[in-house]
Amino acid sequence: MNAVTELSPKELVLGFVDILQSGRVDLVDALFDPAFRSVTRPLVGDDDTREGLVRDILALRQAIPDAEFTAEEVIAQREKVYLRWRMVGTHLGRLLGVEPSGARVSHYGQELFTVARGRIVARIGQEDRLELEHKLREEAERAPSAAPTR
Amino acid sequence: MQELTEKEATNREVVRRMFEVFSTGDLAVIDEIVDPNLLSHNPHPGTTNNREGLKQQISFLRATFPDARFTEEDVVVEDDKVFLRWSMEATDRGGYMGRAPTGQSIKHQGQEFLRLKDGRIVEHHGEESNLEFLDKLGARSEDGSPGVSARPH
Repeated sequence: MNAVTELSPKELVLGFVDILQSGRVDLVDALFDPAFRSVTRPLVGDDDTREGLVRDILALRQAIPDAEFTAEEVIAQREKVYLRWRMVGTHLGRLLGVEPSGARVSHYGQELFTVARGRIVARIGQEDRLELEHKLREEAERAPSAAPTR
Repeated sequence: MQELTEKEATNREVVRRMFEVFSTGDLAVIDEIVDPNLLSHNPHPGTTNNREGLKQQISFLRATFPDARFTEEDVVVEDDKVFLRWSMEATDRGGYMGRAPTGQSIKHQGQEFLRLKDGRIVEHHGEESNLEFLDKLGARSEDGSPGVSARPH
C-alpha cells in the first residue's frame, strides 16, 4: 500500500503505534513520506531514513517478539503530533548490546512527529535508552540461564 | 491555520513562563503557576516528584550550568495539555551531580509533557537524552552506568 493516505496527523501516528505493535513493516510506506527523516537515535546502525525505520522496527520485534505498545497520550496541533508510548515485552533477542535475558521489560518514550503531504515526514524521539540498557543488563546478570540459545 | 482557544493560549503562556524560570532562576514564578501537588512522573535524580522537586531541579541546574541558555524548539498545545521540546547550551561550571566541574560546553535537549488545570501545571512527564548527556560530560562509566551519585548537591 503506497497510496498517500487521507488520515489525520493523529491517525497517522496511531497507525505507527499499530506497526510497532504488529511488526507490519509493509505498512510503513503508507504512513511515512519517502523523504522522511528521523532524529531518534536508531537501535541499529545510523540510517535516519524510512528504510532505517523499518530495520529498527524489525530489530525491536526480533529482540522483543511479544512487545505490546500502548499509546498513553497523543495530542496534535496543526501538523505536529506528540506521542507518549509504553512498551512491555519479553527480552528474547540481543538489544542495545545486551544478550537476551528472558525477562519481562517495560519501557516508555516520547516522540514528536511532523506531517506533510498526508504522511509523516519527521520524527524526533526521546527515550531513556540508558535506563532500558540498565534494566536489560540487570536482568541478564540476574538470570542468564533464562536466555534462549538462538 | 488552527488557532488556539483562549484556554489553550493561556496554558501555552503558563508553560512558556515555567520554561523561562530555567533561564532566570526566579522560583517565585513556580509557586505561582505550578500546583503544590504537582505529580512529576520523571523527577530529576535526587529530587522529589512534586513542586518542591521541580524547584530543586531548577536550582541544581542553575548551580551546575549558570550560563545555561534554553531555547523552545517545538510546542504542541491541545486543550489542557502542552508538549514542549527544548534545547540548552551551557557550560559545566558547578559540577554535575557531585562531580568536579569540567568547564565543558555542551548542547543538550529534552521533551516535556505537561497537563494543566485552572491555569496551573498539575502533571509532568519529562524525558531527556540522558545517555548522550552523560557521554558529553564524560560522566558515564565504561559499564554504561551513570557513574555519578544519584543525588545532586
